[in-house]
Amino acid sequence: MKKVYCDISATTPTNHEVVDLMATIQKSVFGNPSSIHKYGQESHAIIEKSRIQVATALGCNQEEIIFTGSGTEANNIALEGFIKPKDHVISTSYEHPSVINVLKSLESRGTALSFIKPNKNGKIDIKSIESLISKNTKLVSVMLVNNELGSVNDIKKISEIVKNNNITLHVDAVQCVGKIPINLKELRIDLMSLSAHKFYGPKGIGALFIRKGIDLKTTINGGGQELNLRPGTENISAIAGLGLAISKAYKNINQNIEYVKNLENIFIKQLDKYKIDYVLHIKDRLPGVLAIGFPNIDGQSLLIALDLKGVAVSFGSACSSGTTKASQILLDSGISEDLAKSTLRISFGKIHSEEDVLYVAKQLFDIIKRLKNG
Amino acid sequence: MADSNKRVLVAMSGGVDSSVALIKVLEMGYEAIGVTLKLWENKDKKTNKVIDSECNSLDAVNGAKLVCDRLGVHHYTLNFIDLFRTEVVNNFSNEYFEGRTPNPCIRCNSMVKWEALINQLDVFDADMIATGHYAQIKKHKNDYELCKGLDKQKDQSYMLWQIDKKFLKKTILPLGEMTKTDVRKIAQEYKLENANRDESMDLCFVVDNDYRQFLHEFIPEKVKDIKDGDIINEDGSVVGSHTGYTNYTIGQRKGLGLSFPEPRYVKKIIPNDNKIMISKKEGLLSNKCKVSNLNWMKKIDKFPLKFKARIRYNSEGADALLINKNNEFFCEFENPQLAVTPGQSIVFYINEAIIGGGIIEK
Repeated sequence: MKKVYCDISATTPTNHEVVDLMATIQKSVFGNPSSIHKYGQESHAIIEKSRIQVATALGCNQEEIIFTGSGTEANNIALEGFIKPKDHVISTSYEHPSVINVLKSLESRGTALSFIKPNKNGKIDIKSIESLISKNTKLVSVMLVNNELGSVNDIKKISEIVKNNNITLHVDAVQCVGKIPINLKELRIDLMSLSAHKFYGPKGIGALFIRKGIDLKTTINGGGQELNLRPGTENISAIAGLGLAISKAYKNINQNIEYVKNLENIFIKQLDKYKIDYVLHIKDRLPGVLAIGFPNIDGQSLLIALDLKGVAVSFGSACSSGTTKASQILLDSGISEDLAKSTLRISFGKIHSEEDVLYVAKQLFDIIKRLKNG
Repeated sequence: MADSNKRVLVAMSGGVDSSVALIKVLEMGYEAIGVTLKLWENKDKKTNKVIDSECNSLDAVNGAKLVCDRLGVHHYTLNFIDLFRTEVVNNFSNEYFEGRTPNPCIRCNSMVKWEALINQLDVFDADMIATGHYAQIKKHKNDYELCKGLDKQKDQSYMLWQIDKKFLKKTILPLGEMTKTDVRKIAQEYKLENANRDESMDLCFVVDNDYRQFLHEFIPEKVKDIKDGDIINEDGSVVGSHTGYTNYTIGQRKGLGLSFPEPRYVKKIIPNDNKIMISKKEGLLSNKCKVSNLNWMKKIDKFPLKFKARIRYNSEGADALLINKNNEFFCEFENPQLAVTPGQSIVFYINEAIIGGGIIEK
């Protein structure tokens, strides 16, 4: 049976060059990067090389990057490290749990919170942010691309408003680093989180960009590694894997985007050709990410039926799967409960071929026909 | 060898029985898919964290996933919490408030495990379901019979009387002809991690099997109205007080707070008068009962019908007659039976086969 993995937003397969590099390092490099001797120096050099790769890809300085254990950890370190008890924080209702739950925890310790719901295009209205700013507002945290919808926020405009009000901006960019260009020289983002497994790198490694001048307090105590913000002996091979993966992701970024957009078009045209009833929720979206509703078809059933045909997609985000409730994120962006329950996230990437997306469309056609007649 | 083109959904609890059922389905030559039904979530009141009950625990689901992975079989967890609440748990609590003793597992088998799972066959493009129950389905010409399991100690046919007969032809019970010893042997041969883990006998939605506490949390507003009341003798004289009639079941001896030279048992629960009637052991005996909610596994034209009645899961079966009075059914026992409990199931057997069953009324 043909297999097509279309859940690129959940995670990506690790690039084989990245795997090879990591395996080589695992086999031959073991020194503690903090050690003074040659073994330590070798490990330390690998980490610093990766830091330069990240900084080059994102247009920032290498001193502004720390490595973390995941995107979740990066969000935690940024928010817990920056926000003080009496601060007011503006964020959105559709952030990842690693942002929302940290903020709720801070709220129980005295932080004031305002959450903005997405509009029907799946974006955060800039005016909503503006209207909530008060003299106590110290941080705005908005994700660049939403993980369930694939909608892209206008971070440039958001950052300008935030800057004009002298507020710090945190951006969870886990969904889109490596998939769209991000230039931190041009964007006035202060804190930004990313995760390697979303761009064909390894799992268990992320990074946090901390703009020079932003002061984070230590939230994990230890031996002082990573600016004392993420202490603990570094995962050298994973850090190297992240560095190589991000360089590769940005090497041909514009070509990749065009390639994925083309796949998307072929897929949609094929759905039309099959006369499949569908609703594409978001127009302005991350290339390859389709939040797509199939009216009167149960989303979870469709997911299972596709899986049995070798096609992997998701229903709700990966983290909240296992429930048949409609996704709150879809509901918040104005999608009806019935349609939300019929909505899948199909995400394509540069690993796919035209044949792959045509196969997915064909399986959807066959399954929907069967479920409707059943 | 079965038709290998046929696909079978195997209901997996994660215990040894359903794991071996999966192995047997594969050995029969079918393509199998493992499914675990998520039926309930218990939350800790203090932390609001989900506490898993024995039969629904993360351990069990992960156990099922591991076994499926080992055998190269897809596994899915299906969420039937809403259905389980409306069809099983609501009925369970209503029955207690009416002074009756329900069998939620039997209702769950028919309405959730069978009906809902068979409704999913389309989704999985599957043909049949299989479970790890110790019971047999025998085919005679074009008719299907539900029969006792070969292992007399483990026979679970009693738990399946309420299943719609039309589902029998879409069901495989691979353990029906096996003993528990056979099952454990296979589990050990396959080195299953759960080879020695037993299927739970507790109610999956009731923490620590404390149904009183469960009712207290599930419908606090109704429990609040349940007041203390009198415990009476068979002649109506008051001999003590009870803490709320939902706290008692027919045949209960312990926890009555009475001192008699001979033990006393709960004979009757009378919700309308808020009374509990007690008696000596002999007082629990009855000759007959009314039967409601009948489900037939065989078409019966002639009444009265002579059969063996099981009035509880592990009972031997008692000779009885089923009488049809204008479509109201009554069971007369040849010898008086102890604690014939309203709300419990009565199952009619002729030899090894289930003819039908119903719910015991007063």
